[in-house]
Amino acid sequence: MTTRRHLSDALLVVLARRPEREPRGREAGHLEACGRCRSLLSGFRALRASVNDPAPAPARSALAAVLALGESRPSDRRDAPRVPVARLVYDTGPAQMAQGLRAGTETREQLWRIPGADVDVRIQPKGLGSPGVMHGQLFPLARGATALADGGVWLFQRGRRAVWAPLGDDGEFELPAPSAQRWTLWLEWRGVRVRLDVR
Amino acid sequence: MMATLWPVAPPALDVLLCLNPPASTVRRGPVLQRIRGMGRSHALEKAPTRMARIRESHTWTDEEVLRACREGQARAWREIVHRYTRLVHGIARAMGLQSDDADEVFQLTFTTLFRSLARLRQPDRIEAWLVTASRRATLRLLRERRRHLRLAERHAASAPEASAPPADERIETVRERERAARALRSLAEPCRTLLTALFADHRIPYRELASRLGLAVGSLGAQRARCLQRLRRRLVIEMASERDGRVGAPAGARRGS
Repeated sequence: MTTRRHLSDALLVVLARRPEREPRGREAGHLEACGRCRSLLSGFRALRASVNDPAPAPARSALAAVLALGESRPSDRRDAPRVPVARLVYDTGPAQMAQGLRAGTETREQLWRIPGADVDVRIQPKGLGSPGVMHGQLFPLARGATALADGGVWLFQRGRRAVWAPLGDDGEFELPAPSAQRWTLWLEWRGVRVRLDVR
Repeated sequence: MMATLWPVAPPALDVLLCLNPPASTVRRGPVLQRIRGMGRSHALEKAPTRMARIRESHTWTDEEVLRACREGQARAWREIVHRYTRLVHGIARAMGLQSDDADEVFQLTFTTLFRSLARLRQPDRIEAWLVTASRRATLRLLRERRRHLRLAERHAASAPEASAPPADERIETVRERERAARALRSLAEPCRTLLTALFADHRIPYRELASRLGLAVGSLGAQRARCLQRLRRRLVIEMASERDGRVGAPAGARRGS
């Protein structure tokens, strides 16, 4: 290796991963002379630090408030015909009713299918000590799918204000439990908008 | 209660393909088992909005994403927020704020940015703008805290000093880490996972990694070398933008914060 030739990526990774491994001879000479390799080594070291000790993220509520700034509320009536309806694969509601259970006191679970993903929804109705909450999560069907956080969910209920929540890093979202009999979720994920319609 | 079932427009081919995934098993708990034949297949198509035509976010430059934001694209705003969340929050923490206060600075900084979108004169310097804005917001909060502590006649020494060194070194470290993390995040899979595993102190066995990524164990080395090349290119771009960012001061940040 001459001092003119750049250090290989593999060597830079080794130097970044093992701080105790000092650059030797020509490596040290090259690093001293080459700004590019110095910067790359510094970048790799920063990456190692970032991977092993990631910066703390803000609270979920703070992030949701900031993300909500860019959201414009869609018109449920005007846009509905243009937004496709998701397929309901499974719903524990009817099953509970068939068993004679009071649906209002039970956690209800649903599984929906949208283009490229499944959506699990779990509704914990309002009850003693609980304001009622809906948890959901998006599971991409493709292996290694990324950008799960690229989206959000609107909850529409007749006579109530629409509520929005962002998708989290794992595709999860949290909304207040719907109190009306009819409600609709508008899910937007990676540019695709789908309705989850419950009547 | 049941899902509404009505036909909509004919589906696009790629969407139909998505509708026929392999039958899988239980996802979470025993309740959510897939049941064949329940519900009806619906025509699902990509929303005919301009959002569908937006390129994948990792290819956006700051300038492009800011332009899309000005056009009111929610997806672009999400991209900006996700891209710089840890930077802004990290700066507030590096300057000595606790988690709650750092959240406040985070919200304030991005709210200011949102309001200033139309006025930003140098859209490619958004990182520098955010660094300045978050530093100022943090200093302001530190000053307020100090005032409150004085009012309460607490011991001044326990309060963080607004006039203390602005932790430039720590801020620079945060910036550098975030720049590197951003370069990694901008890569698609499997590069992102492969390189994360490469730089992690905790080693993941090759076999496990290969199975997670759906790759052959023997192909991991070559794939990783290609990914490193891509990362290097991204890092060089980030370093270049850093040099450019140092040239001009973010005027909007000064005004806005």
